[in-house]
Amino acid sequence: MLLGSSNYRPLWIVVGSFLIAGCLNILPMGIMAGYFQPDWVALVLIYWCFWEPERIGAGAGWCAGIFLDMLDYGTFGKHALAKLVCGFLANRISLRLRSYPVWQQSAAVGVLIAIDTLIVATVQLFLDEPNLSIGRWCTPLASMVMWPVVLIMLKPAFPRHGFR
Amino acid sequence: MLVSVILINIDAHTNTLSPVRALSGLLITPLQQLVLIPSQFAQWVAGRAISTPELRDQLTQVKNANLQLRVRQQQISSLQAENQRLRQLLSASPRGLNRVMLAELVDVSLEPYSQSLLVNKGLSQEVFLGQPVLDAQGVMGQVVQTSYYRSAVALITDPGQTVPVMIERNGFRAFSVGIGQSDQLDVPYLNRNTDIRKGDLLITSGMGGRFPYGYPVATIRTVTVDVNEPFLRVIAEPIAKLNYSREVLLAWPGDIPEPIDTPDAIVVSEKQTSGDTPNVAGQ
Repeated sequence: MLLGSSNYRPLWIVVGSFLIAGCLNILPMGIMAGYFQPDWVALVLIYWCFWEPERIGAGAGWCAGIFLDMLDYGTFGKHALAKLVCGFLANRISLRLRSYPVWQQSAAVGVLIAIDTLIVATVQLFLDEPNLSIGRWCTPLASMVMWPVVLIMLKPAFPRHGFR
Repeated sequence: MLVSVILINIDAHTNTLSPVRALSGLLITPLQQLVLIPSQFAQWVAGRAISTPELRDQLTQVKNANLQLRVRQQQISSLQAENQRLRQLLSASPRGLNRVMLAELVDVSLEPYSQSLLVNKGLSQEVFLGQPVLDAQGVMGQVVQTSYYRSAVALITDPGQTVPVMIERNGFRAFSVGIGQSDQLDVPYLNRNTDIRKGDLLITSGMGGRFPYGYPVATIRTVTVDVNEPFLRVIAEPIAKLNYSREVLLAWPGDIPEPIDTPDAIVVSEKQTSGDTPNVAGQ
């Protein structure tokens, strides 16, 4: 097939993008601006799930989730579980979504990140750290808005033949 | 999936993962440092931009405050000696003093919408889990996670954080519970005939042994009597500037050594203190 392994982006770009997304996730914002802080790690994960579904999926999502757990000093495994499901779903719908217009893609991204948020909230509910403020449900919306930005940022500068 | 569920359970219910956490905290310290660069730069600019008259003003204020504090310090040392003597007469165990260390906030956002902070001291400075954290005004919270150079602090307003307190006016014991709002605390399980009023000061009672005795926690904002409910509805306001403090104090309770008492003297003192609070639910 045309999209052979030679068409993968180098691994350091993938890992680097996750690191940068992690930094953006813990970037201090004011209380009001914090409501509109998208989940960058989830966005980057979904990007790679969409464009390199053979390589990036649930497993990579789990790793990204553990990374996020480390970053925000919460209970280990909480984000890992959520990102695992998120990565799996994104991976499954990637072929269809790739051919959709950007705004439809961002709607799907919003749903995926809402599922992610829902899982984290559920785990927190079970762990007696209930945190169901309205504010956290702004994250999927903010992420939807930021999806085109992620698309532009992570697009290869010099697309090779056969790469979208 | 199973792995993460197991991981969540292990981490939530045991302490076995704390070395892993310490290591992971160490790994991400450089990333946090990277994130800090913009805010540090902003602080540096702000520090440069301050004018000489302003600085002189601040200096005068600080000098005045220092003078006042020193005068009060003189009183405190004599009062302390007196207090110790009186407690010896009562054969009560003397109260330990606390060693404190200044720590600075690390300006990164942790779990969104949770009431927690990151400070720049960790295991390498002997910070321990459950360590009380204070600021210049009162109790801020306790250390809930440590790594080598960082620790996470859960504020007293974090949902699930409970502080054993007592009313300063009459010594009535209760506890304050965080409800996730940075300016509110709940004081549950108070009978309708409890002597508690608006404006009362709540201080730490020292029960449970986690928070040292006598630090201000909150003032009572409202006391509502609802005839349909068995308990009062009491809302308190934290005294510590939870959202504004840039420096916090980590306390080592009773770290300065004290003369050792006989065990039965301690029992007597416990009886004495618990005698006047008949109707407080357990800790």
